[in-house]
Amino acid sequence: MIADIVVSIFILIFSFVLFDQTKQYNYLSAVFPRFLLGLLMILSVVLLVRAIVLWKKRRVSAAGSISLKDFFYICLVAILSFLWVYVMDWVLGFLLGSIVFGIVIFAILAGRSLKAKQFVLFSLGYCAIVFIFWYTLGRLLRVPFPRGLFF
Amino acid sequence: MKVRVLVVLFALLALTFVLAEKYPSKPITYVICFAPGGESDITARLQQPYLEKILGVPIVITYKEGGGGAVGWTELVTRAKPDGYTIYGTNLPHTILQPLQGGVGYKTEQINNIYFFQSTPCVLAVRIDSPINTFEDFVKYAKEKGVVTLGGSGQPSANSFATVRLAKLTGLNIVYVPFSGSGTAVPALLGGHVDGLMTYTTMAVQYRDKMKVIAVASEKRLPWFPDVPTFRELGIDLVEKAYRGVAVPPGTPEDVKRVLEAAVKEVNNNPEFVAKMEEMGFVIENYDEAASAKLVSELMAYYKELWEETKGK
Amino acid sequence: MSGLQNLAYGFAQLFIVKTLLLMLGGVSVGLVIGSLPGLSATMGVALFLPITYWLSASDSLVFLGSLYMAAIYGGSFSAILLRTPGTPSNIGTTFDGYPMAKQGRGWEAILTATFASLYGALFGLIMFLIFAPMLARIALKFGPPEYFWLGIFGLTVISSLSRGNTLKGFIGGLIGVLLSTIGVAPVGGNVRFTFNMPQLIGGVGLIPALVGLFCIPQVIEMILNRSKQQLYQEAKVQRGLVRKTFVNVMKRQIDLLRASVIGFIIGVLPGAGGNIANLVAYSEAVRASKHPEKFGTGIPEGVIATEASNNAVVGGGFVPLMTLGVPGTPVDAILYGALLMQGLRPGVELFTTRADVVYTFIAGVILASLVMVPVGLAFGRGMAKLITKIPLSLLAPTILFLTMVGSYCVSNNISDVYMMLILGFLGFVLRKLGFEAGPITLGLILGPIIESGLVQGLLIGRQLTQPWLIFITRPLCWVFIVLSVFFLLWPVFLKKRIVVSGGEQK
Repeated sequence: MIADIVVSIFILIFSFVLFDQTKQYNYLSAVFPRFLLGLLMILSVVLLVRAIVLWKKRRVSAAGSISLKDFFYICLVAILSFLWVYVMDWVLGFLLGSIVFGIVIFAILAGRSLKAKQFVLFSLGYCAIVFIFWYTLGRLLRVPFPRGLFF
Repeated sequence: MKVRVLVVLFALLALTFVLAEKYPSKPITYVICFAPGGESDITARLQQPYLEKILGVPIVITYKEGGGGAVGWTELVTRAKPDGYTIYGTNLPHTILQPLQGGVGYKTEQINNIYFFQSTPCVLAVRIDSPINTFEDFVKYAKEKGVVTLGGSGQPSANSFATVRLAKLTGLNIVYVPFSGSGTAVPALLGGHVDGLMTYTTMAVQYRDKMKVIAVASEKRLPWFPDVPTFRELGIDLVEKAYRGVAVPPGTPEDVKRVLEAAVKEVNNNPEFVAKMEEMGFVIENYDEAASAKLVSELMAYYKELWEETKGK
Repeated sequence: MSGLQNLAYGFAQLFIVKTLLLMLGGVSVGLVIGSLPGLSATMGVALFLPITYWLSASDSLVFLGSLYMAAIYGGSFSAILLRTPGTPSNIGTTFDGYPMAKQGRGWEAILTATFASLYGALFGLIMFLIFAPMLARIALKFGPPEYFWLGIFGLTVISSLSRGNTLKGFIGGLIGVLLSTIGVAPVGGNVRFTFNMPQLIGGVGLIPALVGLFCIPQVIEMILNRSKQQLYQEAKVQRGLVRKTFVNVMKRQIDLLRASVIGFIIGVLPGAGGNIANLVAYSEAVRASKHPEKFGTGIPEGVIATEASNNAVVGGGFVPLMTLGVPGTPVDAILYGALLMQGLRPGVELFTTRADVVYTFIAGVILASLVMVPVGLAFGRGMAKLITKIPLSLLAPTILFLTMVGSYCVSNNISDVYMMLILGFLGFVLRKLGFEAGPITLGLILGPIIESGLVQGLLIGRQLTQPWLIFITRPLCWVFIVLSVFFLLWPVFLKKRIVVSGGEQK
């Protein structure tokens, strides 16, 4: 259970950092976070001790491991989705940004599992969904969506 | 060819200038920095039809909430286009207290208020069935009990500073209990969990059958409570209000500001609008851009002093 | 009997075509918004509030009330079919609803949710009509110290909620509470844990966090299965399943009643809503069950508990809203604004001075709950079919898009979208490490309640010799203290506790 040991040590360190932050706050703002962080530290120590005990017993759990290729895909989509929000906010705007990035992610995930014709059809469907949202929320209900540079 | 392109470009440029001169020519977005259905939204909605009539363009109300308004005001000074087509609702003392407190992305001076059109003075209220009827009763009660608790909205806020100042000026031991909004403090009073409320006129008017007002923190008596004395009449120099106004992004052209200023002022002179506002407990105020700036600088000095005094608490 | 007369008047009022259409519109909009992952009931009501300003008072309330009720119900669809709770009130529905869908019983789960929702909705509204003014007085007895203990009690639910590892459940819950302390302190006013980033000053919103923590791991699940057509196969629908499920649900009167009562009571308390009620009801169902180990594997009882309770909350939430003018849940706060906009002052006198509005409103929502069943079933059937048609490689970006819309529209703030993504990917890592999203969200919901209760209680307690004495000297507090201790020790009472891991076994 190495993961548990790492996690509990991480929580402990993080709690200490945050606890140190509370020193800048007034009593009323600090009392609850301190109480909370204290409790969190106690529980993570318990987790740490338990993980060490279990580790000595050598109980290996192999559940939930992800292959390197899958991991790469997850990271790629994660990066793309942050980029999506950023580009949508500053450059492309809601409508274009969502269409471009949505289809890019679709293309990456679909790979060769879909035929070109199917891919185009589904992409059009996706565009229609985005457009409906943009129109009903942005135009009819006046949600101030990110506009980007163009419109 | 090149000349022709240049001519066309110039013509286009000239056209945009002509269009820009005639402000407003397209819908104006009025951004409320609080949730829909709140007091800021309600006042803006009351203004909306009159503003539309005066300016001749649609007023689109949108919401940008978070951090007690700080999210919206940060956007106002950092991202909004200074073309007069986006205006923001602002609140005092929020825009003074938040930068004082630190951690927000705007400075008080950066907010270009063009009009403060209404205010809600603080009032001291107790439960309707309470034996306390006058401020003298309240002082007597506080002295007998040793400690009194007053609920209010937020901290730091107009409510919290009014309470702190009241305690300082009267020498009473008053504990201020902040709630997340003026509305959430009401059940605490009704349930008897706090002795009284330092709240705004809007709450006192809305809940007039559940609480009674024993003193008001305004310069003169208020129309809803003609029999209730002001703190000044009681010998306590306490005037504390929350103001609501309209601001434009920094760098907005002068003529645009004048148009908006005049429009808000005209709405304020509309008897129908005034009646609706007063029915809900708002006091109409008329601070144009210059007066607003003066008000802000006065209040800044006042709150800074109070802030320094109460910092340790 | 004037109440009944008024109610009859209210129903009569509904048969004006315009009102009926508005109700139907509210139900349909609510279903769409609720059932789409990422879009919540609060968002729906907030978005549609401004357009109701032009309607009459009762029309506006009927529309928003129908929307609210239907969104809470519609949230169960995405909870069941995609394991993404449509609204915070459907978190618990994912526990048993999704495993049912995985076994090919998605339609049965939707039917179960529908009938349980109807029961809860009607129960809550009828209780509102009978007990409203009386209950409002009891709700006032709840002061800060009581809220503090209520919040602590809510956290102890984790002990029966977290499957597998209770310790990690509690650590997750505390992480959630910690997340709730980011931003401006509710009492004290300091800006906390923002590391000087103005984007963080608004704190971690419940909806962005919920959307991120539940939807993003599901998107990742789809990335892992990207070449497949769907996550699970829906079994062929047997004939007469609708009637069979209806009978099965109605047979469980005690379960339905327990969940509805819990939902209603939690709804009455200002500050607590469906997000807490559904989890408390779920954990109560586990506790009362003869076979607690089966929960989480896909049994209808789990769905019944959460769905009956969250719809009962709606009626409960109207109690403080209409009688005291104190909105208890975020949606009720928006409805309060709607009332004010119409020039109505919520309070007991509203029942006498504007009884027409109150009773038309309640009658409208009752009728909406009934209409919601056929409309919802048609909609749910369509959605279940549609989801199996879309390849996972497209479903993933579509859900990603919806999560962005959902987290943005809550307060029109782009930093909420970043927050949602960060929490989502972090949530996936945490899930892999054994920290489930349920307890983290519960902590995030309860954090502000506990904190305000604690600090306000300490302030009020300054009247006593020792401020903290206020937490143990009030009788109502003891009710929650006893309940909390009992809940906390619950796993110890159980002799045998079989570890179940959400139907994930392959």
